[in-house]
Amino acid sequence: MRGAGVVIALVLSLAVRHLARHRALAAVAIASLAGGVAAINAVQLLHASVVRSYEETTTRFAGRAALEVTNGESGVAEELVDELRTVAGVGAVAAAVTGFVAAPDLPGERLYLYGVDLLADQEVRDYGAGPGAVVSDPMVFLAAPDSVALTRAFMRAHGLRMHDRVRVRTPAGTTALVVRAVLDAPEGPAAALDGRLAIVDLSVAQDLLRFDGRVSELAVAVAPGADVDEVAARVRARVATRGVVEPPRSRAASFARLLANYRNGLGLAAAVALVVALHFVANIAALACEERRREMALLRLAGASRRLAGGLVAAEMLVVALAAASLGAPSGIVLARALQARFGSSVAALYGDVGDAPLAVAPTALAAICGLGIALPMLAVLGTLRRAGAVRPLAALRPEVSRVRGSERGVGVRLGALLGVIAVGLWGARARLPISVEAAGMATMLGVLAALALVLPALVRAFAAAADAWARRRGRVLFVLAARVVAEERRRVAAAGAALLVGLGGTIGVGAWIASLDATLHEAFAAVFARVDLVVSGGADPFARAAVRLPGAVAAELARRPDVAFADVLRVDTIELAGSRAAIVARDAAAYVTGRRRLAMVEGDADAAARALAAGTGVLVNRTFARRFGRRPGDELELPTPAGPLRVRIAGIHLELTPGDLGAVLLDRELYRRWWHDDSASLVEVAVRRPRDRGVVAAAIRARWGASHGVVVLTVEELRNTYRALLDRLAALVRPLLGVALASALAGVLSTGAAAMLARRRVHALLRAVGLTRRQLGCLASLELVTVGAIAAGAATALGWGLGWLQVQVLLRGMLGLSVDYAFPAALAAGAAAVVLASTALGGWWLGYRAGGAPLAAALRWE
Amino acid sequence: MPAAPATAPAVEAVDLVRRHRQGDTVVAALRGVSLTVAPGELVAVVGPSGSGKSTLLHLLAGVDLPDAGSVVVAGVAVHLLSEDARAALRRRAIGLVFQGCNLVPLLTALENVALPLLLDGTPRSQAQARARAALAAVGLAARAQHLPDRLSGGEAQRAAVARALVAAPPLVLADEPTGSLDAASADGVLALLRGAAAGGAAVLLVTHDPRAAAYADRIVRLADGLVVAATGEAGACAALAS
Repeated sequence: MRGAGVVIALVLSLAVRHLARHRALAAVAIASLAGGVAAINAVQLLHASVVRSYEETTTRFAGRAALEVTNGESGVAEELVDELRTVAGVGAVAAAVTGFVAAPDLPGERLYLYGVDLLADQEVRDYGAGPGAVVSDPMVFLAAPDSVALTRAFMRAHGLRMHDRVRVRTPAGTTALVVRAVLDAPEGPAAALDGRLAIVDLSVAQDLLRFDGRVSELAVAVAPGADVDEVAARVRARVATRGVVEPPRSRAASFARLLANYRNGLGLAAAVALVVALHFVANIAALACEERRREMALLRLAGASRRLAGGLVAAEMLVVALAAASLGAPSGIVLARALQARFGSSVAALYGDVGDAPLAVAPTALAAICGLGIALPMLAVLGTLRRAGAVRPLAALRPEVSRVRGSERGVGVRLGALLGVIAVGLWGARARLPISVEAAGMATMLGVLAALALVLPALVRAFAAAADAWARRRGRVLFVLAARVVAEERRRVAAAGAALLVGLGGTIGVGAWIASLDATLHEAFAAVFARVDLVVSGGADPFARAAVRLPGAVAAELARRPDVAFADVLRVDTIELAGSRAAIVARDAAAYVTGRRRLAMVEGDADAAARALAAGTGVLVNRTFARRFGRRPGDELELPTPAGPLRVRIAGIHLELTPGDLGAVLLDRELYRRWWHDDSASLVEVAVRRPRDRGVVAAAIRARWGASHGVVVLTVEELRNTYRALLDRLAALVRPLLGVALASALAGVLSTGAAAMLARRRVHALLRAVGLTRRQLGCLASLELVTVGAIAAGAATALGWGLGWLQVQVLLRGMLGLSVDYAFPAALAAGAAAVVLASTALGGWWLGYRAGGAPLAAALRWE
Repeated sequence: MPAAPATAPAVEAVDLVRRHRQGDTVVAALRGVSLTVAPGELVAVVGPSGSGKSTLLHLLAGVDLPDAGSVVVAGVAVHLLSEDARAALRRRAIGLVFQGCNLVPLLTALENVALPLLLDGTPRSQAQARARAALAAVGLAARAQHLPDRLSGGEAQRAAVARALVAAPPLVLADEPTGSLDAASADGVLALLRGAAAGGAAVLLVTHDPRAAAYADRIVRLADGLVVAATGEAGACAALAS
């Protein structure tokens, strides 16, 4: 045991000394691996925090309820309250009407308006049992419709006191509420949402949130002694298709499933960063193996086993991995904090507002990610460890130039080709495989990345051979030298180039998202918003968290204005459908029948679809809905509504701009009004009567409803920019992750170049001795690194094209539900390639020029 | 570069001083060495290890700069030139041969020999023709396309001599050119250097090898950074070298 300890100490000591000698390269490897670990950690943290926050909030609000009845944001019929109270085994039923409202006097602040029947609700939930709870006068509170109970934490944060007035912006307009109770409970709803809770009477909330005759959810408590499963079955039978009955915890699980696509998209970007990092680790391991052949040989001669020789490199990688994991884990928390606000607003825009989720760091998840950060690098260097163990003492003692053996090269290329074929085959056979399209797409993307990395040495060799032949014909000795160095050191060049390739390819791939969206949005806006001049929404732009619905009366008055040609209302809602959630989009179908507006059809006849819509017998769905729920035109749909199940037929598939991967159903607004008891508007599309100036009309609308409803009036162009900003927000989450990958890849290429300069110090000295100038040495080093950059940029352009195409197929069409046409970001690709080429050219020149400044006499003696 | 008068020395070093810092101590490698080599002359510099032989050669080649003193090669004051100008001088006026690892491992023998010409902008065809002729002169015409690791030690050193001579420089500097060669190969290399001197080049040879010194017209012995003895007679040369 003591002997083993001595050997381990020796191996670790040698590993640390070698890393210290190559500290620049080691630092880049550690930093990039830490970046990858941090990115994965951040994505996991953000996702877990939102889900946990949702779960906690759900649990706090659930109280003693064993079951909840919901139907997306549409809610359920109020009459269900009385119906469910009669079900055997049901102890209590409490209804709630909920929604976020803006507080215009408290900038940036939002409150979760929670309307409950305070008398009936006590059977299910506790609100203010804490020591600081205050109710001025229970009777007054219940009697006055403007009463609100706020949490002590919220009031303290904003300096509010009892009887103060708090203005809130709601779908009914801006209303002042009077604080008549203070909540101070360590548990229950008052402790949820960081105290951003405003409790009002149920009927007040129905009025403010325009929930006439319906409620957001029902909490059902089971009678003592009753079997929860049996009661759940009876409640489900009674509710039927009017809503979804599930335990509170199941809601969190459903929400987590809903977020899976979004998390996967971000996870892919994080994986790109990690793949880049693994290339560096493989690179540094290969370098360690090559440079330490003599050291290993000496150790072997002194009696060390093959395992010990491999252990030298393994120890080094372990030190790198441990350092990276311990650096990456906390960095992930920092990264998650930096991205928290963007993530929250994106989730709100895509899936629904769950409030501000505080970051919750789970030690087990953190440990798992650290384990991944340690295990993956060790797996990535397995081949190198095998080579290190195979070093023969006498052969290694000879100062020969290391060469890649033909068999190794062949295996790498064959493996890469095989992986590429499998990856492409996987995508081709996605429809027949028992995995989701998203999973198939991501596996294909990662497979293509890995395949390219494996065949890269062969590409480097071919490129170098061609460059060599060209340079020899021209008598360009520097080019010949650069080409030969690249060919000779192709493994190192390939490792550095592969990292750059992955980072650059990922960046171009993300650019393809944006370019595709730009092109598609331009086209879609032209079709969907034809003839529309202005878009009117309440509180904020339609996609912001602070947006509130506008009353139908506002829309009606807008339509009657003399300066308005027409005003079409759009209402967006959600429902629970087939264990998932779907968006409901209600519009005035008459506009399509009269030809005032036109449908952008993907499948089906526009005129027939418009007639079916107007008659209330048909609906249109978007592509995401069709794919997600497996429905086709002609199929019948049963939609749960507050007034019961609505049976309609799918009249066609159309182009729908509603963001998110929920899938959307378009129906006539009159039908929606009838079944949902809701005439509010998510936004109103306004056409200005000619020759009125739209700027003047916009100002007039703001003047009329600005104070009362906080209306926001945008031109269609501004809305398009807002929409694009929303999509940019999604990409903005990915960009920092890819930025880390690309920057560390560039730094890695330069540090690899620096290591190569050191390794070739004697050769450079010889060249200088026969007359190579410092500038020429700069050019030589520049050519070498530019070759790496050129190979990476060329391959990355192809890779980026493919990744972009797959991302459009998998993420945009799947996640955002947009019928996106693929567009290659040529300017971005050219710009990124130019940056890479310029960086490698300048960096190489600087390295060479700097190396040329080393004392020549000393370099000639140097071995 | 201005051509030197026929009677002028190919290289003239005056009072060369060079100190090296080794940790906290400063070691004087050369402490005032003066030396002149005329065209057509082969001078051997001998002395024990650490006497300053290689330092002297480096200063003459412009590979290193003196702390004091001057070096003039072919009429050009080397110590006053910029680094790039010194590199250009080496390409055109100085041929260098070292003990081992003399060739760039990634270039063929032909490319190695043509290197100074190509770096100087000589057209490819002309550079290759001259390099082939230089290789043929050292008996390596058949090995032109071989990489250095395919050449024997003697062949590699002959290729290095060919490279040193390809630009027909007025000065050839050789640092232990036979140090790692067997007797036959060493004789071959020394004969080539002797031939270069016969052709009009000034050849300065730093060596430990008594046989190498025997090829010299003159021997300069260094010890502790100073010239301690010199002779111009062949017999005395051998005695001094030994």
